[in-house]
Amino acid sequence: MPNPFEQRATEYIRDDHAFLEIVTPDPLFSFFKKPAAEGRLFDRLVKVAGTPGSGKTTIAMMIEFKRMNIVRRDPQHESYKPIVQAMTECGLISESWPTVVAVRLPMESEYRDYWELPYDESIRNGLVKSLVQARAVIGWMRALQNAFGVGHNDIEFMTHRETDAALTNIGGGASAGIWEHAIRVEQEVYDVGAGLIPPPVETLGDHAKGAYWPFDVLDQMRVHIPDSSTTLMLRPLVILDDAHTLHQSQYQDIETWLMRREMRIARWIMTRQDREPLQEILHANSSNETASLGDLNNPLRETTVIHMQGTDLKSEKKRFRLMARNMADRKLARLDTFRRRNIQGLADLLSEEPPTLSQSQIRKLKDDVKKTQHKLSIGSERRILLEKDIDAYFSGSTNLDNGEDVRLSLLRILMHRYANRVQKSLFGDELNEDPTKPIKIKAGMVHGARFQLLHSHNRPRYYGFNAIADGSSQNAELFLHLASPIVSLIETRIIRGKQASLDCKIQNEIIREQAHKIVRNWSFPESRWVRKLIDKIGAECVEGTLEPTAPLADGPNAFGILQEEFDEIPDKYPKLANILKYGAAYNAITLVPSYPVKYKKWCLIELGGCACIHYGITLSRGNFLERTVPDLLKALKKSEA
Amino acid sequence: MTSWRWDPCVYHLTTKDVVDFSSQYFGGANKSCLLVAGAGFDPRSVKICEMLSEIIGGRLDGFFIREERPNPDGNLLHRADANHTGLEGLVSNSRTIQLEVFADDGAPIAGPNIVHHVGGVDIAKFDDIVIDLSALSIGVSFPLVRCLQQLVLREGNSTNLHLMVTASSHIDATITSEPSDRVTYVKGFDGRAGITGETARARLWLPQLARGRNDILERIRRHDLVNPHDICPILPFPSRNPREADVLADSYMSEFKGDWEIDGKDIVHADEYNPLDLYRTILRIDDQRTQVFAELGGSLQILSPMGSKLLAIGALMAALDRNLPVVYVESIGYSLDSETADELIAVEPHFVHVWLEGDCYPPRRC
Repeated sequence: MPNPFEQRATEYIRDDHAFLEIVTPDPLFSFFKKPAAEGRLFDRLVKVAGTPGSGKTTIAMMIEFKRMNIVRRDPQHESYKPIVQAMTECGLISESWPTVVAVRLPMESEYRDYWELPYDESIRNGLVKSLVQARAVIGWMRALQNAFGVGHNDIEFMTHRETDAALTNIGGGASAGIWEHAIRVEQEVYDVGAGLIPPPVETLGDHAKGAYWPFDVLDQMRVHIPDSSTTLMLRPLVILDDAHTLHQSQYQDIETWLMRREMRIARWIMTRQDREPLQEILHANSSNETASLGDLNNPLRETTVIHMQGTDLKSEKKRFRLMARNMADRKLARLDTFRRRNIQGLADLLSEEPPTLSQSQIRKLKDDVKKTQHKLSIGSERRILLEKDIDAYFSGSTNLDNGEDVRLSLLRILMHRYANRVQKSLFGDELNEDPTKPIKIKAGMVHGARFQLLHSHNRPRYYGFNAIADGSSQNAELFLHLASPIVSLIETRIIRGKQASLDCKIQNEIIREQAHKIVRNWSFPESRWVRKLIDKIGAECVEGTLEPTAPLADGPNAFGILQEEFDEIPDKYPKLANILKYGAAYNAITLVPSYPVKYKKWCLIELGGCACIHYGITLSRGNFLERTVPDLLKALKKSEA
Repeated sequence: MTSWRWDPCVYHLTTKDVVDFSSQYFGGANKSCLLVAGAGFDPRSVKICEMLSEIIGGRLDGFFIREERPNPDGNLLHRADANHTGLEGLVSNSRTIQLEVFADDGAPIAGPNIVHHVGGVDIAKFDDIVIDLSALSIGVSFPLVRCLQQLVLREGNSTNLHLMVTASSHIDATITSEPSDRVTYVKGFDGRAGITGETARARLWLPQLARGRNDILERIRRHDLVNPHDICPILPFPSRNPREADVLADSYMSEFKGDWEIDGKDIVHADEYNPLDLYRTILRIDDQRTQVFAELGGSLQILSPMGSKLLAIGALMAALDRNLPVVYVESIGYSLDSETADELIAVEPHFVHVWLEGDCYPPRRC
């Protein structure tokens, strides 16, 4: 079978069983469990926002009824166990039976086209709402029929408005009538939107004009399952996926409509965050949930908002590493080559044994350090003291990457720092006195030494499972893309009877090559300009990383713009705002707003993981170069930006 | 087997044949003709117009389309202006429309816009309409052709509809496009595939491979509109560069080996310089699949033309004939290797003509 890591996103796997064996339920735990526990997932509008590849559609597909039914029927299946657990904790399954019948409607298809029709806005929006409702009704009924093999008569719609008008509007009280009516409405509305030449407005039927409102009438669905003589009460859930493709006015109309409290069906909107203006993206990055149960002053309290990327940089990294590990192991288990040899974990195959330079390279490095010592006029005694500091640091460190090469590189940094902190002799005497301020070795500085070796001696820096996870900008799809050639190589080695695990040198080569490829192949709106921008940021960050004193420890990977200056970008430089928006949406950069440093607030324009690997800079977050908006404009070399 | 609308078909594949046909057909009779053409930066914009204006003279009217995209490159804008002026200079009676390709939210709207503009053309005034596809994008040219075809058929086929193109795969290669982020049907080419009940059909995707479009095609493949059960990539062969198909296949090897799961027998070869070859191939596949999947919910072929204009004409004819869906990604902007393009256009242009509707066909066709 093809390498499942090359199937970049799980949602494109057609076979439901294969999909469920690969998909990881971690995002359900991370983002949906809490609102579910607070009773905010099914009684009001839920908005889920995230970057492309963050897993929105995967979640929507996982909980679609046909898949939910597969896992709940076989809860002891090794791959389904965590999914069932996640679904149970999120209130989707109770006592092995589903509580919700979910249908996903991809909005990325023809809905936006209705906005271009030459009708009044109310008619255009009415058409879209009718289409959404008809498709949802068809989807719910079809899901139950396929899952339980029941007929229309075994399904009963419970309504909370039993007036004649309400029932007539949805096709009567009987399921067969509701089904036929929904089919008719869908075809009628579809033909209006899909036709090359729109029909005159006076020829549109009532349903097309929005006089079809099952969402306002329906409550629960009761289905009688003949085989088990069970009767289920299910709450219908409609998921509008990729709603960012709607026109802003369409989106607002749908949002307002679905926010109405009297609506009993569950409804979720999934959207990419780049549909929002730049300021909204920044807002999303600075608060994980904008509406909560107890926040009565919040105008959005009718809505639960879930951002599928958190704000706490450290905990996010940890969470994503765990999710990536689960995802990788599930995918690996599908490869026969690995299964036959009972190889279960990708992380185990990625050696973290530190690299070492060759003897000749170390000799050259020693010469370099010696020259630095001579150039800075540092005395032998001082050098010995600095070496003792290094020994003392490593004796208390758990990091095993402490070979002679790292020590020499670190020594060079310490020498530069030392020389900056002592009074230089006018007569060129050797420096031996104590520095004005003691030099303290920290982990970041040691990483900085390792990055300098990457650039000077091509010493591997990106290896081990976490390097791939961290390089993925917390994006599941990007992780698979980055890991794919590693898995392919391991598979080839196993087939050829070679050792499966990869040493750090090979890993570093493959990961960097793949990162180069990903950056080279960026093909999204404004990608040309985004590339120019990150070229500028990357080049200056490399310079910062290679500074002899390593002032920013392991080096920067971001530009920091004063927050108030950054806030003016959308108004003053709309083109630049657009570039930043798409860069952030496609994980080329990450925007970190209101980052406090030196009593000021900064907005960081951080390079995404692949871009960091591409340029050979740190994946740690927080270090940045202070810059201004004109610096960004200069990078784009286009005054109108 | 279902009958084919363009079998037989009147068409000309060499510049000499096209010029001879035009001279005899347009030159001899006192025919009024409307030329619909793109007035863009493409160096091929004026070639067909030059040829026709020389033959038809004052009886040639022009309907020129300027595709407007956000933040165009200054050099391309300058070239488009020059081409536009050139076209207006060749045709005494002409009209130009500024066609917004994108809405303010980034949604592609070229299709509905062109239909709106063309709907206002009084086609009954003309004996012939020639659509020059050389400098028109897929998102404009496909709805344009379908709209004019519908208008011609509605008028009782009294106007002849021709497609012409200045073909050059080499010039195509000098143009690089920047894709937008939306995968959509070309307006009017949804094939009713979006109806919920239709999703049960067995889906075959026929992407036309082009250099450097891997990511775009992958995005199309993964989209809900396509999401195919099977894929048959289209490669140009025979082609001017005999190794072109191999080079293309090689550049798509990771897709072939990965999610696409393509092997040799899945590949469709189509003559790079004969649009009818691809048209017939697609229809043959459609006929076979219709039979095979008749009892299994039916078959749906989805097209994604890209790159070569001539192959795109083949795909267009197949889509018109069988009402097949066409899925594409609109370009948000272009860049041009001007120097190479100018050198290539200086060589004798290669014209192709397809007579789409009109006198040469029996009044009642499929």
